[in-house]
Amino acid sequence: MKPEKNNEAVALRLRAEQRLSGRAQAAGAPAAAVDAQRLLQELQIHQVELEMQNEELREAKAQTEAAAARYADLYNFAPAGYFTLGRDGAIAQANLEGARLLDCERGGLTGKRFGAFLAAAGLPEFNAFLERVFAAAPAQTCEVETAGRGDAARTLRLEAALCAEGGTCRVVAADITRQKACERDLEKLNAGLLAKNREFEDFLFITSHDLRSPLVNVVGFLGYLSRHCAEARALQAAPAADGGGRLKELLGSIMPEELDCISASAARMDSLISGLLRMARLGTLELKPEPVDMESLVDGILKTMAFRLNEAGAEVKTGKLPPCTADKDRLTLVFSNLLDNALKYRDPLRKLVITISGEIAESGAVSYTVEDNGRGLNAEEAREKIWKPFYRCKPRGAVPGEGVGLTISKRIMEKHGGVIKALPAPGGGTVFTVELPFKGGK
Amino acid sequence: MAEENNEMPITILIAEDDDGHARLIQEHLKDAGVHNPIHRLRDGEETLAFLEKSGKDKDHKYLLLLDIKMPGIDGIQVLKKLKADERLKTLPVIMVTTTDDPRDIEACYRAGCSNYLVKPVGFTAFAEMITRLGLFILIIKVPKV
Repeated sequence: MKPEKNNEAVALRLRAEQRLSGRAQAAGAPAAAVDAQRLLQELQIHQVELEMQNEELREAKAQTEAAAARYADLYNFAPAGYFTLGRDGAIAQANLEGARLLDCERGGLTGKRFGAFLAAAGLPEFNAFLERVFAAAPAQTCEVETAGRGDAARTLRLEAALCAEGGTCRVVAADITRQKACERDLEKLNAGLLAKNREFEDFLFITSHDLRSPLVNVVGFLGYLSRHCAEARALQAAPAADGGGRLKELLGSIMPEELDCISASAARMDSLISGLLRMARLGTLELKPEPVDMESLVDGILKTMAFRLNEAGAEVKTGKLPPCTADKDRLTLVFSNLLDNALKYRDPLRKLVITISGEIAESGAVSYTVEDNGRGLNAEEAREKIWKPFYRCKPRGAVPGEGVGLTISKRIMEKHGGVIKALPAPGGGTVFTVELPFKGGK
Repeated sequence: MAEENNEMPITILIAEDDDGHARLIQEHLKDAGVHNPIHRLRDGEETLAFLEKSGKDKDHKYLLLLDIKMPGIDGIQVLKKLKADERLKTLPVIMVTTTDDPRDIEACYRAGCSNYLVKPVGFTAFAEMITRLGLFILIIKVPKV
């Protein structure tokens, strides 16, 4: 026996003797044979000792039960999911949060395989994780998707450790669905920012080169103009040297032509800069979304363009157009640009037919299409380039404009959180699709 | 000069949508002493159509000065189409363009252009660039197609 155990026994003996002497006095034991008396006393002391031990055991048992109940509460109501899994992944035990995470009554979990509650695609990964855990690899973690449909599916982060007996493992499951959604949003935002950045770089390159192009003309023809001015001045000072009427040629055609080139290039720069300003203004534009009656919006545009449409002999077919929520003025600009392009790039060999239609998708998103039977954009490359600033499908002067209409339309749609796309139309021509996301309401 | 060896002189093709630029290149070429015949093409489509018809003519030798930024089919697309054509791929192509976007320059060299020149804004710099181009034209050997 250890010394303290020994001491405990001695103390118990002393306490038992005290209690017994109290009892004996109270009972007033009669005097009898000394041996029998001593034996009896010994036995009585043992009896009391046993009673006291019994009392202590009862107390200890009550304490243990209280502690067990506390731990059971902690286990059952913990904010994390706890599971005990067998080697085959069968659930031996689970807490309430664990059952909630798997969208199942706790009673229905026992004996079922954990994998049965997961999305099938993630099963191999989960099985490999379980194998690692039972191979006693320390601190194993794994992310799994539960089998719930749509929004009910959760992403769980599992952390497991092998139990001491080696036949089961304990798994802690945390719901990281929201965290994952945030991560995905962040990734999407990041990708969007990167794309915007590239677009911005492109924009800078394009605009600086487009602006440089007329400048090359201005400086180039100024160079020739000053050279020809000097030549004219010299000829004027010594008319005798001008045998072949060079002065007349310089003043009558060469120099005026150079001046024409310079002023045409200056006008081109002016037009490029006004296009740039129109795009720049969009950057600071605050959209004013409101419910838009699309049919009256398109009607309005067609009335404004009626003269030009008639002149071109165009036919416009309008289907049923669902309403949407958007900035009315900007949306008018987008559809004016599309109709304007259909007119500008029509096929001269056939009658222009423009079809405008719309539909509401199941998601509530609204999409409209403007289809023409014009010259079309057959090459995929061309369909990408049309969105770039100052891109022209035809030589400058062949059609009026700055080449920013579609660039601006695309920016407007992006600001709405929508999209604008161009696809080849069956039978030639182009289909422009304008999509607006669902904005609640009706 | 090109006429020395009794052969047809190289015809310089200028594929350029900007009238001013086309004229400046022609004037500067004249100033640099290049007197080869010059033929102006207004855009990518016209350039491809011309070369399809005349570029395979055995008696003619051509050198193409090609601008990148043209409406419709741009210079890079023209260059790629030429290099993909068995009989036109030996035609020397010099990009003469305002674009100094490194991505464009790389795309042109990768597509197989012979040279890449950026049109400078300055009058003298432009003249110098064309003079260099003139020297290049004088020494270049154009293989028979």
